Amino acid sequence: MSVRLEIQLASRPGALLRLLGLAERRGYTPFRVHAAPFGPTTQMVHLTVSKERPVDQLIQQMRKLYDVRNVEKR
Amino acid sequence: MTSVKPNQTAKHRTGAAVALEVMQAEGVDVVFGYPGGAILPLYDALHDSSLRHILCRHEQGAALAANGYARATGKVGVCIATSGPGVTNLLTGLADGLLDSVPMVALTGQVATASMGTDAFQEVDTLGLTMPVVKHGFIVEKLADLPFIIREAFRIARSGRPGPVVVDLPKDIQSAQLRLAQSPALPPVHAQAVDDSNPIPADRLVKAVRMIQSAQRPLVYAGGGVAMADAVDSFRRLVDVLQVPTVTTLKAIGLMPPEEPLGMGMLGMHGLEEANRAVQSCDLLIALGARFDDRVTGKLDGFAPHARVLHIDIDASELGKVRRADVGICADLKPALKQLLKVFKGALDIDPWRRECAQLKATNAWDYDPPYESVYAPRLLRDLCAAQGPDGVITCDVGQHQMWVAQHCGVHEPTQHLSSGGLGTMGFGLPAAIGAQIGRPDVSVINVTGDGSIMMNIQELATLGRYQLPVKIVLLDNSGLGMVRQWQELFLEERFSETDLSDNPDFVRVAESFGLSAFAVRQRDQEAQAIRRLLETPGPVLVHVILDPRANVWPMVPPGCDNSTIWKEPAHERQA
Repeated sequence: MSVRLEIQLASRPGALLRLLGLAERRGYTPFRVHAAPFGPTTQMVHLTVSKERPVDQLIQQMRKLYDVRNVEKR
Repeated sequence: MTSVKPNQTAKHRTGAAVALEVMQAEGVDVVFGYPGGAILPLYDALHDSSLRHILCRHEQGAALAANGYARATGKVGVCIATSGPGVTNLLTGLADGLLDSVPMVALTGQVATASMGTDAFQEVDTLGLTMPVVKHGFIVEKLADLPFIIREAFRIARSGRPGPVVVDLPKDIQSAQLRLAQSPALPPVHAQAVDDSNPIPADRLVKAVRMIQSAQRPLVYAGGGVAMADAVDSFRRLVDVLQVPTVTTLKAIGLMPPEEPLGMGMLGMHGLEEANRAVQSCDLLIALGARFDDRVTGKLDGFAPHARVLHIDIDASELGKVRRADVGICADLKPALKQLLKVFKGALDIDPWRRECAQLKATNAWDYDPPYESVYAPRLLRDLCAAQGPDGVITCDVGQHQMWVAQHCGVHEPTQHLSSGGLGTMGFGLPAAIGAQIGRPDVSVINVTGDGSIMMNIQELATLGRYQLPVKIVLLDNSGLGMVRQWQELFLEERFSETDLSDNPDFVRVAESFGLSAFAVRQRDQEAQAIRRLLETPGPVLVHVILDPRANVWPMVPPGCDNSTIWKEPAHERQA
């Protein structure tokens, strides 16, 4: 089982690494990631993670990150 | 204000000077740190600044001192280190701050931007290294961003659920001249005018109130978040209005004054029996600023098995993370508790439950007079705390003594009990005491430590000596790593692997060589005099207390069990 997340992220040093590191640390396995510019200061990240743990927990944790503008489940 | 150096024109200031100026505008008056190559420009600016700098003897000491300062004062603790090993040494203090939600800002030197990524001398990836142990990290790549980033770092550290923020400052950015016209003294603030006086949505409020009113056996389970939200007064009023029994976590000790009959004490692995029994038999758990830590819950399936859960926390990700909440509310506790106070006007109709809780407390009253010839740590700590007075601060390290402090030191406010809860950092206590004493120079600060823990940051005795801070150290020495030894005794068939420290140095002579007064005690009849001598001797003092190495911490919920399995002191230990 997997779930796809759409994350709007500020383009700042370490932002993508912090996002992926959070997913790994919290026990989710990211196995597909695609990042592309989305406006002048943000990027859109499509992230597919394993769904062994409740994904809403991961979304709540991601929303706490300073660089995360928005997280949606797709 | 930072004075301007002679070689700087009035219109130009270095990045380092601007960084200090913005910090002072944020209310910082003291910083803890250790200089080095990549942070030299900042220390040069510090030389001209009115900021007070406390030189610790290790970056971990500086980070933990800033951490203790923040815990004792509620202000942001600031630490400074150079690049490379300076940063790697900071990590423990930052991680400790993250796990216990302590507002901190760390300024770290970095090699010049042109050298970054070349394995330059003392270069490490600070942003990458600190990522999992801070709330956020910045690297200043452009001088013009510096004021905003520093200000933003303080805002992030303080806001919501507090935590440490690191700001990595490349050396060339620190040295570069910023024209004043480019330096916004006050970066734009994006505060939204939001009315947060009623943070609990109406439908949740109705549900919460119904839950509380319909419970027969409600219990408040309060965590560190209450004090962090500056909600102690509202919390006490609510408990008083409802007349509801209350248990506290390690981080919430002091929320309920020791003489308060509704206070059931600390719950969890080494919690008081009355607290754990109350949790196991309540029908509603009102969790306030607490996070259902595994040391609190024991075996999760069996934790508060009959209880519905009302959980209020400022961090949405805590709601339902460990234990499902029947009603979960993401809110700042200060206005949230005031909102609840508007609804409740009188005591809950739960007299039988109150009587049961009072009976639990009476049944489990501690026996402070066991037949030991040696010093009895629980009694010593109880009497020490009473002698210190109601305003004193106690810091501790990690291990058996930490649990004895939690169980037996009756402090009156959460900011008086500084303990490394989440990370469990041995070596926390001494630098935290330094930070607390710097932040609150008028109160008595005691560090209760162990012979294992004190050696983790023993170099900070030099900081005590340097500033002649009147911190009193109570070193409980059981010639070993007591808590690990206890687990080996109880769960690993007494295979005592690497927990013997009987070759410790002579701690009295060590302390004296750092400029402290020091003495030793080993018999129970010396306890009272030792406390008097410790508190009455001016300046920094260490008392070396020799304990029976076989003493264990009781009660104990064995790992893997739920909180209804409570082991108590076996009779044979009492014959010692």
